[in-house]
Parts: sequence; C-alpha cells; structure tokens
Amino acid sequence: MSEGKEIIVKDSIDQGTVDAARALESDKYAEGFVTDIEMELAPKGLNEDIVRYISAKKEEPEWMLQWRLDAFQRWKEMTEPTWAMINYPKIDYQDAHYYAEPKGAAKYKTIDDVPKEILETYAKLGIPLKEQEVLLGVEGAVGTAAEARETPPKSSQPRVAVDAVFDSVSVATTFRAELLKAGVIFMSISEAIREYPDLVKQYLGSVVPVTDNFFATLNSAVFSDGTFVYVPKGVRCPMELSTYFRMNAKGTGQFERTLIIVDEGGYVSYLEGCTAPMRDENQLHAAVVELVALADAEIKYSTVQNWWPGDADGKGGVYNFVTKRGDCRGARSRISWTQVETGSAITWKYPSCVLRGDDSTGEFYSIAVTNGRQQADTGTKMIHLGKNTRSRIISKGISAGKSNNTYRGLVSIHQKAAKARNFTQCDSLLIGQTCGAHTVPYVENRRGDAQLEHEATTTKLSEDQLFYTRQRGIGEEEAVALLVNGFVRDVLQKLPMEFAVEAQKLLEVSLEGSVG
Amino acid sequence: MQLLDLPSRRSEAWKWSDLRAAMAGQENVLIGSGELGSEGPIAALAQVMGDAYGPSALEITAPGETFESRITEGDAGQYGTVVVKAGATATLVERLGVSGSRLRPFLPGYSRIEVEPGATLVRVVVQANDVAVGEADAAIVLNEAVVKLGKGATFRQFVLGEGSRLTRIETSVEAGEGAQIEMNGVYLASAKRHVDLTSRVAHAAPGVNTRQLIRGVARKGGRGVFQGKFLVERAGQKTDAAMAHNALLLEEGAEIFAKPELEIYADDVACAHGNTAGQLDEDAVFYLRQRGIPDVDARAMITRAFLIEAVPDWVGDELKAEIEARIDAWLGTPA
Amino acid sequence: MLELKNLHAKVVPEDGPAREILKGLSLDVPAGEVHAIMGPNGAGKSTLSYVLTGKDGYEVTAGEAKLDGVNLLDMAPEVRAAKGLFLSFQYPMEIAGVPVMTFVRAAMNSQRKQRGEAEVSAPEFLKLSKIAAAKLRIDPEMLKRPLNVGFSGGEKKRLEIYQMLMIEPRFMILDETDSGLDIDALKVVAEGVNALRGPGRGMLVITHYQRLLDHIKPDRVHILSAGRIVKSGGPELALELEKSGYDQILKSA
Ligand SMILES: Nc1ncnc2c1ncn2[C@@H]1O[C@H](COP(=O)(O)OP(=O)(O)O)[C@@H](O)[C@H]1O
Ligand SMILES: [Mg+2]
Repeated sequence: MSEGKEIIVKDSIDQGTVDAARALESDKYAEGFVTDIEMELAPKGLNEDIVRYISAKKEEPEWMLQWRLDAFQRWKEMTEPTWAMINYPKIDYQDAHYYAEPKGAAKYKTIDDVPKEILETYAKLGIPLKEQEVLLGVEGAVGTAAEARETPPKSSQPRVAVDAVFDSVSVATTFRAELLKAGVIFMSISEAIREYPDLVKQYLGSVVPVTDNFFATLNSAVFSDGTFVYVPKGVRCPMELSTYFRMNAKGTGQFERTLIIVDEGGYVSYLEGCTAPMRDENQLHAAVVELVALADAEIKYSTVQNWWPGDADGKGGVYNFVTKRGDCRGARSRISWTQVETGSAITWKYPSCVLRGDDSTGEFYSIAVTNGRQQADTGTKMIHLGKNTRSRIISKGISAGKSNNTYRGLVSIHQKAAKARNFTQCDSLLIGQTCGAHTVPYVENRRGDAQLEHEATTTKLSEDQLFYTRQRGIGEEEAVALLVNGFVRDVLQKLPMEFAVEAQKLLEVSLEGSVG
Repeated sequence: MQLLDLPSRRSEAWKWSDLRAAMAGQENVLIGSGELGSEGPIAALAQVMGDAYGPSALEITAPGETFESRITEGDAGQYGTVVVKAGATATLVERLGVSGSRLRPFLPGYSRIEVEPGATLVRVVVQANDVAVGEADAAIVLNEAVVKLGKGATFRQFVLGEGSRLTRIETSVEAGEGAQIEMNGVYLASAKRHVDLTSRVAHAAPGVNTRQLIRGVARKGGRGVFQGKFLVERAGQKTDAAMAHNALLLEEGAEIFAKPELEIYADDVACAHGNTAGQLDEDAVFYLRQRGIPDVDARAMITRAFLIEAVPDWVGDELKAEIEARIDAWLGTPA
Repeated sequence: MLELKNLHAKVVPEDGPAREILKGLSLDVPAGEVHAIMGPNGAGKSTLSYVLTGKDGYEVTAGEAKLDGVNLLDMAPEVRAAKGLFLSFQYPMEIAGVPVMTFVRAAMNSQRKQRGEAEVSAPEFLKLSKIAAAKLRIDPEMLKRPLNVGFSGGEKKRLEIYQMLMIEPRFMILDETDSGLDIDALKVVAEGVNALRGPGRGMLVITHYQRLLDHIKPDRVHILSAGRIVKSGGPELALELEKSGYDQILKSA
C-alpha cells in the first residue's frame, strides 16, 4: 500500500507516534548503523589544494597528481548534465569533505592492524575480513577460533576475496598472497598506483576518458579508493573477487575508482557491494569503473547496490552518479554487467560495453527497484564497433511508493560492425498509483546486416495472479514478493549463487509496505 | 530581425535531426518580425515565416467531409487551426511537396487541431517532393500538428514521408477519456534524404486506446528517424497502448535511428513497444526463390509487403492506391 | 461442513455496472460427502467458487457461507485457504519465473504458519512431491518450470490437482477440472482426487460431463441455473441430464 509509506500527521496522533512509525520504516534498512571511530578528514571544499591533499595522502607519484590536476581544471569548465529523469536540489560541491579515513588507516600493514570497530562493521554487514574465517565458511561474524572450529568447513563453498573500502581508504584486502601465486593482482587502486605504475598508467582513463562526463571528470580529480585487478594471460582467477564499499563519515562523499584488466584468455568474476549509514544529509558517491578485456578474455561484473535510499519522505540518501564502462578490446572478449539496484536516493548509472574486438559480446542484466521517493535513471550503452559483435540487455524495473524508475539505454551499431546483433528486453512493473516507470531506449543502426530487436512492456502486478497465489494460502506481502521474484528471475539467475540469495532478500525488504 | 536559435543535435529532441546544421548558410530565410512562440521550433518557425500569410481556420461540422490541402513552397509558414465539431467526421489530406523550382525551399507548417467529443478525424499526410528518388533534394520540410482529442473522439493518422535534405513530421496528441488513436506511418529514405517521424501521445484521461505502427526503409546515404513517445499521466488509468517501429536497412551506408519511449505514471495500464531494425528475413526470401521468383523480385515483394502492412484501409481506396504507387515507384528505382 | 444460505452476490466489474449473479443460493455439503454442481454456461458456477474463496470484484449482498460453522465471507483469501479451502481453478494462472515447487512450498509453509504448525522440511517436501507427481504421472522436470507457463490445458489441470494433493485441503472446489484432459489423464486425475476423499473432507465438483462423475462418484448432484440451485438429486440426476439436456430438466424443475 503506497499510502502506508506516507505519514500524515492527524490531530489525534502525536508526534511521538509519528516518530515511532518512522523509526519502524528505517528499521528495514539493517545496514543503516554508524561506526563510531576517530576519523581524519580533509577540510571541507574542493580546490587544487584538496586535490593535492588527496594525492599526498595516497603518496602518489607526480604523474598521478598531474593527471588529477588536469582533470580538476577540465571539471571546473563543465556543467552538470540535466537530461536524466531525476530531480534534486543543486549540489553544493564545496560543502563536503573529499577525503575521510579512519585515523592511521594508511599504515595498516596486516589485518591485525585494522581497528576492531572496522572489522566489526564488516562482520555486521556479513563480510568477514579474516581469511581463516572465510576459509571456514564462518558467516557474518568475527567469531572466536573455537566457534569457527565447530562449524565444519564447507569445502564446496566458493571463496570470495574482499577488498574493503571504508570511506576514502581500502582497509584490508584478503587472499592477496594466494591470488598472486596464480599471477592475479588484487589490491586497492592506491597501492597499485605505487606498486604497478606502468599497468595503471597504461589503462587508467583508457576506457572512461578523463573528460568523459561531469561526474567522471570530478572523480578523476578526487578519486579516493577502489580496487585494482589484473588477471594475466590465460589465467582463470581461482576465486571470486569483490569490493565492499562502506560510506561512514558524515558530510563526506565517496569517489570510488576501480580498474579491472583481464589479459588474453583470462577470466574473472567480480562482485561489488555497498551500503551507508542512515543520515539526514545527501551524500555523494561518484564512481568510475573501467574494465578492459583483451582477446578471448571474460569479465563478469556483478553489483548489489544498497546505499541508504533516504527515508520515506525523501530526506537523506545517497546520490549515486556512476560511470561504469567495459572495453571489449580484443577479439572474442566478453563483458557482462549484472546489477541489482535497490538503494540510493538517486541513481544515475549506465554500465556500458564498447564492443571493439570482432566477435565480442556485451551483456547487461539489471534489476532496479525504487520505493519511497527514490529516483533511478539507469540502463546501459552497447557500442558495436567490431564485426559480429553481440549484445544482450535484460532490464527489470519495479517502481513503488512515490518513486520514479527510468530505463535509459543506447544500442549503437557503427559502420564497421558487420552482422552485429542486439536483443533488448525491458519490463517495468508498477506497484501503486503514485509511482512512475519509464523506458527510454535509443537505437542507432548504421548497418543493413545488423539485427536489432527491442521489446518493452509496462504493467502492474496482476490482480488475478495475486488472487491465485493468495487462494493457495500465501499472504499478500509474501504473494507480492513471490510474484516480483518471478518477474526478476531471469536476471537473478545471472548472479553468483550467494549474491542471488542476498539480492532476493534485499528485494523483499525494499518492497516491504508497498502493497495493502 | 530576430535570428532564431535553431535546435541542433545538442538538444535531446533533435539529436538525430540537426536543423541548425541542415540550415547552415541559409539562416537569412529566417527574417521575421514575430516573437518566438513557446511551443517548439516548428511552430515558432511557421509563425515567423507565415506572418505575411496569416493564420487559417477551418471548422468542420458536417459529417463525412473531406478537405485537401496542398502545401508547396509558396505557402511556407502555413499555420492554422482545425476544429472537428462534436459528432462530426472528417478527412484531412495534407500534401507537403516541393517542386524543386527554388534553390533551397524551406517549408515549416504548423496546425492546431481539435477533435471534439465523439468526433472522428482521419488525417493523411503525404510528404513527397518532385525530385527524382536518389537525387539530392535541398528542401527543408518541417511540419507539426498539435492534436487535442475530446472524450470518445477518434483520431486516425497516416503519414508517408519520402524525406529531403531534412524532413521532420511531428505529431503531438493529447487524448481525452476513451479516445481511440491509430497512428501509422511509412518512411522511405533514399540517398541524401533525411526523414524524421516524431510523435508524442499524452494519455491524460482514462481508457484511451492507442495503436501505432511505423514501418520504414533506408538506402545508402539515407537516414530514417523515428521518435515516438507514449506518456501516461496519473489520470490515464486503463490506458491500452502499443507502439511498433520496424525498419529495414536495404543497403550498407543506410542509417536508422529510433527512440521508442514510454513515460508512465499510472499503474493500471498495458503499454508495450517493440522496435526492430535490420535486414529482410532471408528465410522468406528463400521461400519465394524456391517457388521460382528471382532474388531481386523476391526482395522487392517482401519489402513492399512489409511497408504496405502499415498503410491502413481507412485512408480510402484512392489514397491507398496512390500511396502504394509511391512505394512501388520508390522500390522500383535503383539507388 | 459447507453451509450456504440464501447467498446473493453481485459481480462488480471495474469498467461496467454491477450485475447480480447468485440469487439466493442455498446448499449443504456435510463432511465426508462429494457434491456435484452442474448447470448451463453462465449460470454462476465459477462465480460461486470465487465468492467462496474471496476474489475481489464480487460483492455478497445477502445470505451466508460457513465452513465448519465459521463465516467464510469476512476472511482474506489466504486465511480461507489456511482453513482448508482449496479451489482448482477453471483457468489456472500462469506465473512467470516462479517454479511450481517453489510456489507450492511457499503455499504449504504459509498455511502451516497461519495454523501455528511447523514448516515442511526440504527432504519431507521432496518426498511428498515425488509421491504426488508419481500419482498424477507428472514428469518431475515439469515441476521445476515456472508455474503453468507454456503448459498445455491438460497439464495445467493436472498441476492444480498436484497442488491439491500437496496442500491436503479439507474442502475442495473443482471448477471444470475435467475440461482439457484426455481420457487417460481424466482417470489419473480422478484417482488423485479420490485419494483425498475421507470422513473429514468435503468436495464440490463443478462439471458439465458425466464422464468425470463416473470416476468421482458424487453423493448428491445439484443443478445451478440463473444463480440458484433449481434441482437436487442423487447420482442419477446427472445421468438424466446427460440424456435430456438442461432445457428439459429446467422445464420440469
Ligand atoms: N468479471 C465479470 N464481469 C462481467 N461479467 C461477469 C464477470 N464474471 C462473471 N460474469 C458474468 O456472470 C455470469 C456467470 O458467470 P460464471 O460464474 O463464470 O458462469 P459459469 O456458470 O459458466 O461458470 C456470466 O453471465 C458472466 O458473463
Ligand atoms: Mg465457469
């Protein structure tokens, strides 16, 4: 029931009741807690000195600083884009801290240096950072060794290496040594800039140029941390890699920068998760993610985005302005993006594929759920440059409450993309009468032998299906969840197992209170 | 004099039809005295250009009337209003054409149409210039109709666009309760032709039924653009709307750009759109060839059938024959 | 067990005027019995099944409907289901993306939860499912596919009965379950249904054809016409109907 989210103060109801109801609302966002830890912040504002401050904090080489400064110069001349179907008050870019780290974070040498508060934060989020715990399959607890021993090791359970980014710094990266044995470099981008400058120099900004767009340019100037992955020729990365982004400090923005390179014939599956505390203010997350797949390489990139969406009245929440792009640079390379977007007050995000290599393939699978006052404008771009390139887009949008959910996508077939193929399916589901669902596909075809197909539907949840389900004894909320799950199943199946389960739960929570 | 700020590919609604670039060096035709209207570039241009001409007004009350208008370069800047009174039925045939006598003809036209409750309007637009297919055509043809439909009104439109240096035929409909809408179109973009069919249907009241079918073909050096938008406002419950755009790129170097858009704020609706762009169905070509039909003929036959599917019977026998003849002539002309 | 007294109900279409369909229907199905309802198209048979199970769009204007003495009409559909009421739909719904087994397990557990019973465990569920599928000669692979999506008419009906066997309801309404079934399937389905006959259970079988009643022997047969039970009798009434048709019987009624 959409009205259930609206809290109207009637004469007979006192403010206390309203607050209690609101608190209940927020209870649903289990990740909304704040970690109390001493932080070191850059002074508020954005100027050249701040860019230098960040670069110095990261002990970056001169070329990196110059790169940032150039980006900053360009950014000052750019204007914020307005074409997306989103509305928000003007952002004051001077009113935020562009760098925040837990005191002494730069000096964590091993996991044992990481403060207890941070380890507990990640444990609470279900991300164990101590390798032996991951090995033993201990879930979501920094438990004692004794406890761990009692849990039988699940050898079949796939292991996931984690890079934990807390505000502006990576606090820990697990399984690094083991991965390096296989030749896989997995570390924070800050470290990679120092340790593998040649690789970084070669690829950074090669997929998303510094001046690509307003937010990407901003990111290029002030990016804080993110993950660097390099998979060498012919190597199948032995485990799933992941980054967990946590925004904690007040009055800050997070500027993630991730770069993943898979050399010829290599393979990696990478997962990204993110959460933030519940705050009244709007926090900015402006990320840039670049993927490079060389010949015969494959990258699977999955995201479960659960930033704080703001409360039911639209107060607070993360502004998520993200540029994600993959370059299928080599022949027969393959990049797939799978995203489950449930969080953020505003989502502006178009994970894209540049299909440069002949016979390369790009895929985009998306579930975007909006409720409350959330606004999402998300989709993909498939740029077909090479011969026989293929792309596939499946997007499932669900709008509830007073939210707006837009799919925006481009399929562009260039002159040399002989026999290119695209299939696009966009389905939108509306729950309630106060939300909006929009589909804005752009299709540009310059090849007669290309085959492009696009289908889109917009419907509401079927009353007849709901009744059928309830006749079998299933309550209304659960019935809605079940039907919604069915609606998004095609995409859920594209996620790695453990993520799919988590995503399913997240969907349920996100839609709670949307019917009645 | 006021030089108009022409839309270019930087403006979202004109990104594939760059009017500013098409009119480069020709801005002097835009000398007018009028202020720019707020309604959109075509309306504004028509008014600026048509000041000497003055507005026209047409009111239709008797059922079954047919009106024909022919807009050629002498009539540049035509703008006017049409009202189909409650319960009346009318057919409006608009021919947009250029004889090629002038160097760079410029033809903006704009009309406001009101179809009152229960009335029916059939509008047929035939845009065809007197320049041989495959030859450059310098004309810039802009046409916009803003259509308001009353309760239970019916609006049927068919547009044939053969393009020119730049042709854009824009229709914007606001539908009242229970209105019935059919909007079909065919475009044929040969070398050096640009044809853009843009439409927007606002479902602002309950129970509107909309069907749109656009078919187009393009040859080397030709560009076809389709931009269709269905807007369903909060009040547009029980909207049933389907949009289909299918295009064939007959040769290398042809371009088809499409943006079939849904913007929906009501939940109890069934809206769908489908978009395909590609080549002929080779299985069908083979089937015909197996029956003994030569490849070239088989292709022409299938392409013809593909296009003619979008030409509805309600345009009337005579017009249908004329439109089919134009399609045949176009297909029969090698690029 | 099921008592209907002077039931009046209107269908309230979203886009048209309300129409009274049930016009004073009374019916008593004691525990342990199976009653058949026959009647011409449009008589209100499906309407009755929807009114009893609580579908939106129907309004009861008078009369009462009780299951084991409890008023059904105020309860949400899922609560009625948990009380043991099951409808085999005339037109089963297709539910995209939800596999049959997932759906049925969710239904069983929801009902159990409502009744304060323990959930069915995974192995237990699989065992029950295997038995039910075997009884109805359903290929277990079919149970992994989304519910009813792309299934033939007969397969859908078979799946309705599969759900029934799994859920083990106490009162069952079968709305034209025989339509779409071939002769062998009819037998299989009837056997499945008969397995659920018992002293604590009741059943209402809506059908047009004697051949279903050959397999599911009713205790009583009622003829529903224009929203009312116009004639009741023993199993012989169905045979008589088969011979002479509704017109004859209605005239004499
Ligand atoms: N949703 C509805 N809207 C309008 N009429 C309905 C609706 N549902 C049922 N009816 C009408 O009610 C009457 C009884 O229908 P139904 O109960 O389905 O008959 P049957 O006995 O064949 O199962 C029919 O005339 C049918 O057209
Ligand atoms: Mg029926």
